[in-house]
Amino acid sequence: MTKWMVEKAGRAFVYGFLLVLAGVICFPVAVAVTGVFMQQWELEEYLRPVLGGTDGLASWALLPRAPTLESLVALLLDSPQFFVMFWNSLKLSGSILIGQLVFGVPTAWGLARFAFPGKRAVLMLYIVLMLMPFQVLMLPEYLVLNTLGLLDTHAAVILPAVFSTFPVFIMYRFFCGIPEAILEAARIDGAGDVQIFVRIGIPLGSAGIVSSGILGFLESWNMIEQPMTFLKTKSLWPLSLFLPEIGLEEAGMGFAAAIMMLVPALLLFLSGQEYLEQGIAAAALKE
Amino acid sequence: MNRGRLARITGIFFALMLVFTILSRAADQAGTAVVRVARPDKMMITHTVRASGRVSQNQELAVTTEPDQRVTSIEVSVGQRVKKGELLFTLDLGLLEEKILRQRQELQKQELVVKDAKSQEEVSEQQKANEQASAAEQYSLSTAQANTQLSHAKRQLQEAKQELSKYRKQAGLTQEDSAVEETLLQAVEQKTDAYLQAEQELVTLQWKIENEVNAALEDAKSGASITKNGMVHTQAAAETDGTGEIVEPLNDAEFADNQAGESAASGSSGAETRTLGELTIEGIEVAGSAGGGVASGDSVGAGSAAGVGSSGGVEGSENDVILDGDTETTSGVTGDGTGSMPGAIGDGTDNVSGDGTDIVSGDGTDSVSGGGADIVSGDGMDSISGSGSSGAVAMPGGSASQVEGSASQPGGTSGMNAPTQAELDEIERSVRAGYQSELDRAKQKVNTTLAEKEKAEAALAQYQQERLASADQKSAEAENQLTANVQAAQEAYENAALSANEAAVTGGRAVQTAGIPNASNSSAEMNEIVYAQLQLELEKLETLKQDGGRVCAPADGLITQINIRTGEKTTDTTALLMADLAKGYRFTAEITAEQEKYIGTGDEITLTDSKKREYEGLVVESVAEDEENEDVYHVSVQLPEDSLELGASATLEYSRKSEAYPVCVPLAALHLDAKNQPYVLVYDEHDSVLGTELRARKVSVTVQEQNESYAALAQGSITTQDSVIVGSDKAVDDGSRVRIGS
Repeated sequence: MTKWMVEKAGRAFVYGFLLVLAGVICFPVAVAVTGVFMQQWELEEYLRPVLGGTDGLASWALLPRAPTLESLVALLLDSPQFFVMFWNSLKLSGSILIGQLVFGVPTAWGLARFAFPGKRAVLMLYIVLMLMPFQVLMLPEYLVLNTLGLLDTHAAVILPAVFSTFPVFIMYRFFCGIPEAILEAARIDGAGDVQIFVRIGIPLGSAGIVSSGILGFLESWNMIEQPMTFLKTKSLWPLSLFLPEIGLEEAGMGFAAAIMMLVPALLLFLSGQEYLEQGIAAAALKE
Repeated sequence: MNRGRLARITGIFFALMLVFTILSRAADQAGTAVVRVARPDKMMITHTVRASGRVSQNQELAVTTEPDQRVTSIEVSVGQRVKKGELLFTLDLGLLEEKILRQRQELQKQELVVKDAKSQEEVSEQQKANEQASAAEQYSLSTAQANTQLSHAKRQLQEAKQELSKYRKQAGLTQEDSAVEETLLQAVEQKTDAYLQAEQELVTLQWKIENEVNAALEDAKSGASITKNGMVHTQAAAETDGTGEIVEPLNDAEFADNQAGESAASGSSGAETRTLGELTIEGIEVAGSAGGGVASGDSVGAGSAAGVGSSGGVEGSENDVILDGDTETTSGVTGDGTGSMPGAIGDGTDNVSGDGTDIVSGDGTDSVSGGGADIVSGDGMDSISGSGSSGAVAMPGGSASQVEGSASQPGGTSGMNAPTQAELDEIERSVRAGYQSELDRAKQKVNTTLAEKEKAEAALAQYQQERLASADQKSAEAENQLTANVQAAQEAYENAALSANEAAVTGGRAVQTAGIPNASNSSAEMNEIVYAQLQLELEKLETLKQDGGRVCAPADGLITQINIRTGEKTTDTTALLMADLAKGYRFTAEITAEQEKYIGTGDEITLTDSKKREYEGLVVESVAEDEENEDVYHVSVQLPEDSLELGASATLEYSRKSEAYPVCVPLAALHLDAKNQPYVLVYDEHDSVLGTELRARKVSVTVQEQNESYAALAQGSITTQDSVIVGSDKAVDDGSRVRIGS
């Protein structure tokens, strides 16, 4: 056996393994897509063991037996609730995104480019807060929001997310990566701090900003605990809370809603894919 | 991927989402029921009964007039008010007069018919009386003749005997010899009398049996006719009663005058009874005179009388049978019957005693020799047997009446059917059987007496032969001649007695046949009834003519119907109908059974007429169920004077208020579920994705009372704080999303 053959066999094994993994990862998406085109009775037949409480295992078919657009039409034309939630989600995610950009970018620039006392302590605090799960922060946040009288408003979800530490940390990494020499040159040319931040800092850190924005959007788009905790009024709920309310009788609509929910995230991801890759890579770089 | 393209796709996506948002909201709103709501009230449930009806009169008067008259003018029209005595319509006088004339002629005709019928009846009665008289005459003549012959024969016999005894005295026969011969002669005479009597009895009995059978058959037939016509029958019974009394004088001449007087006082055919009674009395007297002192003639007369008496008894019992069969009809008739029965029985006893005395006296005077006792005994036997036979007649009559009673009762129960021939035969047989033993006995007696008589005669002949043998030839010849004479006379006498008996029986039968009354004839009375009717009609027509053919209102009223037309003829039905104004009006309306629950007699109602005038405080007089339709009731209200016009329509209204109920909802809010349980729909606010959403909720309730617009609910499930859905533009069910409309 030659070395070449061993190399080839190992590669084939790796590809095969990866292919299997890819299949496993893609399977839910495939289920969601085929589910949209299935009729209610078919879905009930497959999902009854899971959702209907009977014994046995759920099964699935990769192609619907009687393809139909019924579920999609029902969702788009007969469910105003879906759209209420859709727009709520968009509002929450958009607001959070804008808020993070408005407050997070300058913060990250300041932490990356300015030296001041206690800078390291602040950074440490950011990292600790970033590592803390929502379950830890939930109660304090609730108490604060209650005191401020913001409970059961969108602000209760938006404000904590706007001041999230994760985007600041990512952008901090990018801003740190801008060479000091470029900034020196700008200063020599007579640029002030604001000019340097707007004209040099943002364009050069755009990859980080975009990737943090995309990550932030996706996070807020899929947010479940926060709205569940802080929003009592159903009309304020985001789309992420629509699916938990779907039962076996509306399984088709659930699949359609899932696909519709995927679309904005997919579009955003596609448009910011390069930046995201860079950003993720940058975040992985050691200083 | 091209960035611009991605942006465009994103734009299109959001634009589509916006469009679908709008579309789905529009669809959602279109599917939401818009409802009206109301809060339950505290109120009273008022049941309003509303019904329309008409005003009608309390009493209606019919104006009629003579039929077949031409109407010349009608002065009133339907709806017109008339006063009492006001002219309604006039009839043609010419036609009226013609009718009167014709009616008079009819009346005269009828009068003539009545007269004819009466004279006819008189003639037939006369004929009947004549027949009876001639029969009685014939009877008396033949009996008298027979008696004369009989007495003649007897006298010859006596003479022959006297000659014989004279000759013997001359011949100087010994006392001893004559005594022996006397004894033998007496024996012969005695046996002969016994034989004759037995013969007589047999004939009488046979005749009686025939009579019985006939009477029984007649009764069986008339028993059937009784059920057909009781009236005719009672008349017949009354007449039979009369004849029964007529016959009685025949039995007993001493009571003839009394009886005739009584029957004249009681019976309708008194006159004829009297004449017949007189005739009979004469007949008896003739018989008596013809008989003279001859005891045998008397006894025959008595025998015939007894025979007739027995027939009278039969008649009486016949009467009784008929009356028995008819006891239920009239008590008066029954009284009459019982009156005649004791009469018949009394006659029987009278007969016995009368005959007995007569014969005794007759014999006492007439019988020269000592054989009087023998004759007395013979006659006594005769009379006794006669009375016995009459008793027997009365008895079998009773039994016959029972038979007939039983025969007529099946006749009564079996309805109008006449007895069949088989039944008649049966009756005849039974009657005959009843007499069979008696008949046999009588025959036996005749035979025995005949044999005895012959034996006695033989003994006598032998004695005479012996005696003559001892006497000389000449005297023996002479005596022989005399003895032969006596024997011939004896035989002639016997024959005469037999023929007299037969003549009496035949004559009695003829008299009885003549005494059968004519069939009842009521045509005279019927004619009189027709006459009276015609007269009444004539009177009416004349009254109409006196009024000048004008027919006037009998009372104050309102004309409601006119059935006559000018120029046409009247019929015998009502000419005009009038509402009697004096008796007032009433309002009647129909209500349903549902409404009937809330209105009753004595309730004060309000009437509204077509001009919207209201009459309040009127009291319901009656609420009655319709005879044909169970769900319809008639409400009747008496109206005060001057309130509503006759025939006007009006609306009745009556409200009955209940107690106050705290929770009352409009009836539109009340629904019935699949199990027919009532429920109402309330709405609840639900927090949903689309904001605050209203959803209907079903609440079961208990209805306490309801009318056509509201229902009172039991407290508990619904309070006055709940809003109840009272109307919607779409079907609303439990859980339906609703929107409150303005």
